[in-house]
Amino acid sequence: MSPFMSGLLIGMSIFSALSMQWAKAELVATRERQAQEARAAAEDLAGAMEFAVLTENDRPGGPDYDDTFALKRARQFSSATGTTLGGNEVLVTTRTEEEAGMFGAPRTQVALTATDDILTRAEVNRTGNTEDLNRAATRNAPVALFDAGGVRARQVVTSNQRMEAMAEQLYAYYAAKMRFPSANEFTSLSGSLGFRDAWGREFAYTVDADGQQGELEFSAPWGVTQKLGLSLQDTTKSGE
Amino acid sequence: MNWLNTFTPPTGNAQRGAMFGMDARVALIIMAILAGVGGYQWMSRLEGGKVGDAEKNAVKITEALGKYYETVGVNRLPDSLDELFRANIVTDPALRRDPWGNTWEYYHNAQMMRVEDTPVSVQFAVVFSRGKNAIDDTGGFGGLEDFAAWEPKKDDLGIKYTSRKTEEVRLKAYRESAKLILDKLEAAEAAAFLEAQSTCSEKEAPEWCTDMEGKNWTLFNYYPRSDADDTSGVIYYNEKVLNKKPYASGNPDDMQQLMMDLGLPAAYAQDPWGRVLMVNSNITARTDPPFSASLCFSAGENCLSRRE
Repeated sequence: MSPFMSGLLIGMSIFSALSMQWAKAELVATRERQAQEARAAAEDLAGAMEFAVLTENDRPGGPDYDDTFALKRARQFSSATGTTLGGNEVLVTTRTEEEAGMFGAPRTQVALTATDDILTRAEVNRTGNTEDLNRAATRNAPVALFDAGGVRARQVVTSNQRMEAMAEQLYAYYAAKMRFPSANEFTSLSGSLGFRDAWGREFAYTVDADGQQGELEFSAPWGVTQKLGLSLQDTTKSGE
Repeated sequence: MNWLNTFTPPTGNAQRGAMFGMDARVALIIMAILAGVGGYQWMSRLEGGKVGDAEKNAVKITEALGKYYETVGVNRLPDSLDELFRANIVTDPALRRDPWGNTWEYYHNAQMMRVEDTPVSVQFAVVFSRGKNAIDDTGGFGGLEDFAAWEPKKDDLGIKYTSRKTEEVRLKAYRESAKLILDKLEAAEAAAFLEAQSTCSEKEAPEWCTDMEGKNWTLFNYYPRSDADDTSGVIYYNEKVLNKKPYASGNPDDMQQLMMDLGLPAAYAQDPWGRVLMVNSNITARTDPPFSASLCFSAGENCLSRRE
């Protein structure tokens, strides 16, 4: 082999080796960036899903209560398109425990997987319960979790706070008239004060004939009822 | 081509011929292939760079939309992207057009919704480049479902924008400030009551303590009066005793004054969406205590009337 050809081959080898190094570094950086973008998209979609749940409202035009967590709901409030780089839809995996959580709300966790990686998608898909889902989300960066059960419980807490504020007004009424308002008077009072539960519904109210004891209540869409007893003797709050 | 000369002896035709022999031919072929591949790669990178630039710039524009919404528009997005430049939110002239020299496509919409029954106005927009072919393959969106399904088609490149995160922050601020205003109103009511109590416990108490239009001081309403209460027969301590004029509910100046009188920043007279505070100092329309005050923020409607 001539010196010229040897030089050419050596030069090309060095050039190829350097190019490969550069390409490898570029590939790692690209994969890292894509993983970060996938994670950001998954988190954004999880936040959007929570927002979508909180917009449920019984008033005209409001979206009804929905215990399914389709990707479409999250996409309404997310800048992410809900599609991975490879053109797959973000995988939405829902797991619900048999035993109900706080305030009887279904203990549901939703995982959003924004990667094309088959192993990751399969791992999330294979999970059998919320614990497994949590573990899979912790292990894989492009998986974000949405705690639907926690948000449902928060809606009940908000509703309870408003019911207590309504009760304060009913006690103020009692202080003035030495009785709780009648059902008709309550309707008028409730309309003026505007206290409603997290789903935009007025509180249900019952009162005894002499106006000395009453009860406020609301029912969460999954059937659990929260009650607040109104009495100067004893104030109780209970859930069914 | 000096490097070829390195291998070329200064004299001798036979040796000069070797320069164009097999080695040189192979070298030329390799160089030609490398030049071809390199040229193709260079062109691809150039086009890829434009695609990358378009994606980055679309993100920059949506970030600017968010900034505009938070600081300038308050409860609206700009009607055109030019407003971003006019408001000095975007200063880089390179962002006026996409990397292919075309104007950006921009569609926006807003929707009123209730988050845990609190009214919130949410903004939606899409910003995209028509890509290399300069044809709008994607189009805008109508309702919320369209927005959910929106993504750039063919060679279009762009991004969606929703004000969700801003609304979440605003909602938190709204709830905190509303609670603070209510607390301050109650504190002002309690302070006024104690002041009256102190005055009326003195030996030579003023006449209004026992008779003000037929009522004694214990029957007064001690909330700062707002004109939203038109109940007759209510005696307001602030109005009748202290001679203060009622605050005009929903009037920005009066509501700012009320906030300052309560010891709060005047800015509390508006909520994060720019809606103006409305206060009713007697929401249950009672003539005797206990009185209840209520507040809400209005975009022009009478938000104090909640019956629907």
